[in-house]
Amino acid sequence: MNEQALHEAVENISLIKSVISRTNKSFVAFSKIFIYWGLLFTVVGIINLVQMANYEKLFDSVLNWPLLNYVYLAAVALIAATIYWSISKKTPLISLEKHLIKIWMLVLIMNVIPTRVVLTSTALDTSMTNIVVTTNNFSTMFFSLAIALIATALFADYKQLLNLGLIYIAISVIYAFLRFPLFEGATLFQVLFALSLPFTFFYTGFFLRSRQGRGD
Amino acid sequence: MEANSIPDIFQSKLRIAIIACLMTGEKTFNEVKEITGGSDGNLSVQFSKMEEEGYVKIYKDFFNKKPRTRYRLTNKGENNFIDYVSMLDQVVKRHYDKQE
Repeated sequence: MNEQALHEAVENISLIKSVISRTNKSFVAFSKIFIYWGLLFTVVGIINLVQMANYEKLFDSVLNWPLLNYVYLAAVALIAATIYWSISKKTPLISLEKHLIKIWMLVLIMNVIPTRVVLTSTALDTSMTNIVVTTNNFSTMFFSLAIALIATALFADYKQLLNLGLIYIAISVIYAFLRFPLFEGATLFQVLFALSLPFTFFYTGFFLRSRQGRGD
Repeated sequence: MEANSIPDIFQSKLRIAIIACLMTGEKTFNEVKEITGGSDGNLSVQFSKMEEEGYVKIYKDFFNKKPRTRYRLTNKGENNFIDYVSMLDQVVKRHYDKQE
């Protein structure tokens, strides 16, 4: 057996190994979709912040045209779907990323579903007409993002995503059960809330892209 | 399989990459293209050769009203690939055994 045969054998083994690991852990399309979704949710976050800042002005228009909210949600969903279709058409999602994107889609849908509030009162309380109910899904949003991050981390075997998921769970639990001063300031809380979704998508997208580039 | 009787199919790096890629399951043309980095023309030629040799089975259907071609490794392709990898493994092992 000569050196050339050995060299060729080693080369072919490493080629086979790299192809098989790439087939199992390819995140080319997945990371691209996440980066574009990150951009989309940055815009959505800014719009939400502007809406919150002008809450009183917008309150009447939302009351008069309740459909406006749904049109806005539908437009965001349509853009997100277009990003998904156009990227997956050019670069098909393969193996693991095909399944993980479904988990993330379900998490996104879960965060879009509006909270239904039912007010019940006794006959004596019916005179209370000026009740303002504000719903807040901060904890559930962080927890759902944590589930998706942890699922991605476990299947793709990336500890960094697992750590981010655990941090999100901690934030979610702290917000739900403790009165933490950081969350009491309305502006800071709103900024954190608006940035959480784009940050998660950017972080996951760029992280997976960097791993892909390094061949991990 | 012996080192001096490797089937012609395993003489090309792209064909080895295609077969390795199909070992983890059926793939579409674009998926194989993405993983192996081969060009459309080159991949088509290699797929035709592998189909002729009975290594790959080609399925054509419609997905979202568009034609789609899927590729699957046959039993022959799978078994020969396993033999080929064992042979490569033996080559490396023998070399290290000799050194020791």
